[in-house]
Amino acid sequence: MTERFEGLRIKGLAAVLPREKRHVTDFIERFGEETVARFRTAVGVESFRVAAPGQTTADLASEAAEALKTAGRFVPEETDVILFITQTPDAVAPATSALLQKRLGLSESVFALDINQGCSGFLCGLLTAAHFLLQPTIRNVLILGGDTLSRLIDPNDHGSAMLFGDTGFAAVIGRNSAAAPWTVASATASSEAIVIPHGGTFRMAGTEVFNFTITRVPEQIADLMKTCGDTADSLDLLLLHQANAFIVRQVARMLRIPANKVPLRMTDRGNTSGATLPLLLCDLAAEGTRGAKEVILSAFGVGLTWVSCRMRLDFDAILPTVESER
Amino acid sequence: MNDSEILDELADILNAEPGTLTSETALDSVRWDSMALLAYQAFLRFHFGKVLPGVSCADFRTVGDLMKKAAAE
Repeated sequence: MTERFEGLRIKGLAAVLPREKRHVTDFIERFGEETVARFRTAVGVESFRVAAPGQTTADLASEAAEALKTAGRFVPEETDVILFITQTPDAVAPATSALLQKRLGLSESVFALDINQGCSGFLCGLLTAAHFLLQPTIRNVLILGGDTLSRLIDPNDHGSAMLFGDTGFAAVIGRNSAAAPWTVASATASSEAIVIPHGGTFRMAGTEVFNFTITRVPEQIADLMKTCGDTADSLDLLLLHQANAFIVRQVARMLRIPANKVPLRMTDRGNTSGATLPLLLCDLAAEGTRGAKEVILSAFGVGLTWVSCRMRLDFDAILPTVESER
Repeated sequence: MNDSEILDELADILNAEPGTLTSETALDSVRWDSMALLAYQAFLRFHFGKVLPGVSCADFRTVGDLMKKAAAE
């Protein structure tokens, strides 16, 4: 479905990387030189970050929220909903969002909700926040999320062992009556092409996921561009989930969006699941991107789900990526 | 999409300079590998709604072979 929301804006966004770095060359002994070389070329990853022992997704996301608070972009007293979006919550129960309420100094009157989502997580969070904000008494929604998938990877599966990095993020969504509308397209196709079973590790049917991605995602973006009257010229940026370099290049090529409008920042990040878009935005902010940009954000993954959002994005509200203090 | 536009797309897929391909260009003179095959299949599927199950790199010898699949009904 496609929905349109008026008067919303991202008031703040922060992403936090763990300190520990792993290089794909560390895997040569396990997978062999040729496999690692092929992976580097096709996927575009040289290194990625992994959470420290005992460091959870909520720890990373909390640090991001604290960074927003320090920057004056997250005010606990003005926040009515907290969403925590992840595949790696701190526990099955209670909901991690419930524990984050007290940790982040939010009042007991907030509504706290965990959402189980992977690579589409950030945009699912935006869409959910947009729905909450249709209720006039809700002032701001705090979205926290990320993943520590490095703990759920089969170490002998080269396709995932060298791909997934850990990251946490926080975003504040609120109102601005002068803001340009958001148009959001979302879809779900029941599929077990990507699964993490209870007590198991991440598994992906690569060909099925690839075929899904390179057909349904550009179709959705093309439809969204048509709905919004966009062309490659009217967009400043197409911000794609950083699944792997090959997929990003194919989607951009099919839509005929020039590569300089489709940033790829996976080299030292890996695929950070639902955090790739927040991390990409914070990396662009760190590189000096400023001001309002006409963008389409698009994310896709486990579910299978795919979500694309057209908005005017204010990069001045986005903090540069920071490293965890732990 | 006309032949010239298809050649531009194939140049991108095959990592060749734009304007350097013709239908006679041999695929062993450009980067025609499993990743290029995936990209080619994605191109056919998105722009022409065509699916090529069970094909391999060896099934194509020239750029013209790739163009024929895009043109064939």
